[in-house]
Amino acid sequence: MAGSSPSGDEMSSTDYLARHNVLLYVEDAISQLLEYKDENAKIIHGKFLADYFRSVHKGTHTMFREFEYVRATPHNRSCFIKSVWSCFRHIASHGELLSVKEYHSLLCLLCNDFPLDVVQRTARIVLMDDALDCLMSFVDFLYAFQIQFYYEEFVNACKEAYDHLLMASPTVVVPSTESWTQTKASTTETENVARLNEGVNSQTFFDVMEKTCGKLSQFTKRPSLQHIHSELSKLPKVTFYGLLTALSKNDDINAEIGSLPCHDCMLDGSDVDIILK
Amino acid sequence: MGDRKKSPIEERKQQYKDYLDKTDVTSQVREALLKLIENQPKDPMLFLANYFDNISTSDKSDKITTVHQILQLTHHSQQSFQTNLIVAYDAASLAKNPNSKKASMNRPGLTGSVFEELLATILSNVPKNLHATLLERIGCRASEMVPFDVFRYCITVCYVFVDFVKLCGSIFSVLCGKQSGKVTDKDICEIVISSLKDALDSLQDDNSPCSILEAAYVLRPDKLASSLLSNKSSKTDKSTMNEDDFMKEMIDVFTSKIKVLK
Repeated sequence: MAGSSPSGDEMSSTDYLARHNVLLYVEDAISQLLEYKDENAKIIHGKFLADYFRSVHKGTHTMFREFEYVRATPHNRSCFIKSVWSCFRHIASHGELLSVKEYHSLLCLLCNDFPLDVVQRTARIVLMDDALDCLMSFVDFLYAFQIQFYYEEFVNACKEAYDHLLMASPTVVVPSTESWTQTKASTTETENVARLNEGVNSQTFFDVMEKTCGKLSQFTKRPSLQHIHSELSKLPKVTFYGLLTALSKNDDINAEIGSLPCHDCMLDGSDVDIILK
Repeated sequence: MGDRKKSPIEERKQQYKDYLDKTDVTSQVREALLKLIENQPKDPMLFLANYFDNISTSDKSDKITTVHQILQLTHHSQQSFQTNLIVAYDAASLAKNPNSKKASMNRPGLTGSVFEELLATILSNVPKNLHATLLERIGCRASEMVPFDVFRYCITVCYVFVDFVKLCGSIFSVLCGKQSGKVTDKDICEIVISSLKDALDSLQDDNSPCSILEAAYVLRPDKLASSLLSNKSSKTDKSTMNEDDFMKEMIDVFTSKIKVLK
């Protein structure tokens, strides 16, 4: 399919198709068509395909689909996040607090094989890796979920960078009442815990993260470095979950993704709007 | 390994393949992807949705609709528009009935009547009073045959015109600003119209890149802003201009630059 492109085009055919995940959607369209025709004798193929692509364009295509499909492209992920918000936003206006398991059940209503693991990782961001059976508000959960799910590959790259830094930092002064002597060879558990709580140097973290993220494919979405840097520059030291929480609260990153409204507008719209929508 | 009976999965795959071939889905999807790669639209999903919509209604469509669809595939500023023009011209020139014994029915070529109908379809979203002057200049008689160069020129002009009309509409709403009514200060409108006229008049006939740049320079934002601001001081007679008149005048400036072909 990758023939030579006509002169003057901005990108080659393979790049264009890969950037928009065209082949994935075409393959899925045809599988859906074949499944559909098994159950329904009468089918107008052109219309079926037109409806499929229109639903992808509108963003309604991820509802009730399997996790593998929902996760497959950035567009699918952002549409799913939007559906979660529009389906469950009344929870936000009622101010209820829910547990990890309850959020997981909600997500399973829209995607029946959604893994618990993703929800747990989201909880770690909201609760800063602490007291993970705590209840969370819908708004906090949703913004953290957005970072964890939409930028999954980036979050993993970040963790890699962070762990690398944790293991490598040789001299960390641990302030405590008991005097611990630091040796390069032996690191005790308590020191590790202390290091975890304090975090790593922000500038170093940024540099290592830039390198790790450079290994990601050009089509993998990640927050723009400028916004990450603006969060990191706020404190001299930062923990992994501290950074992720900060990113989830950052309005610029939220606007980049484009699925959810800005933090202040989250609770706009009365219940009447929701019912009429 | 010798002939083996196909596994159930392979049989299923073959069944599906045959079904897709038989129902033409394979060839349609292949065509769609080729068109997609050729045109590289900003929104491939919408493009594919429209493409398959057209396919499912194409049995009932006539030549004009097919040609129009081909021309709509991409914006006139794109390189692939030129290719689409050629394809569209061929489609429009198809003989009405190749098997007919009547000589007039099986001669290929783009007739004037088909051409006029096509222009009308392209301009269908523009109100009639606005595009009448344009058609006067580029229309042709029913009995004439239309060569490709003329076809290319006129179709491109039509699409540029459609964009121009939209642009004028948005300029007018900007000039209206916060005023609720659909009227605005006549003087401001006149300044805008005369700026456009000056720019186009300064365009030398050779259409060299230099002269186009010079003409565009006349329309630069700060010059326009200064001429609009200099008008603000005189507040004598506040006559207004409504949208229709503004549009008409802008379009007159546009069409005065179009070659008369009729």
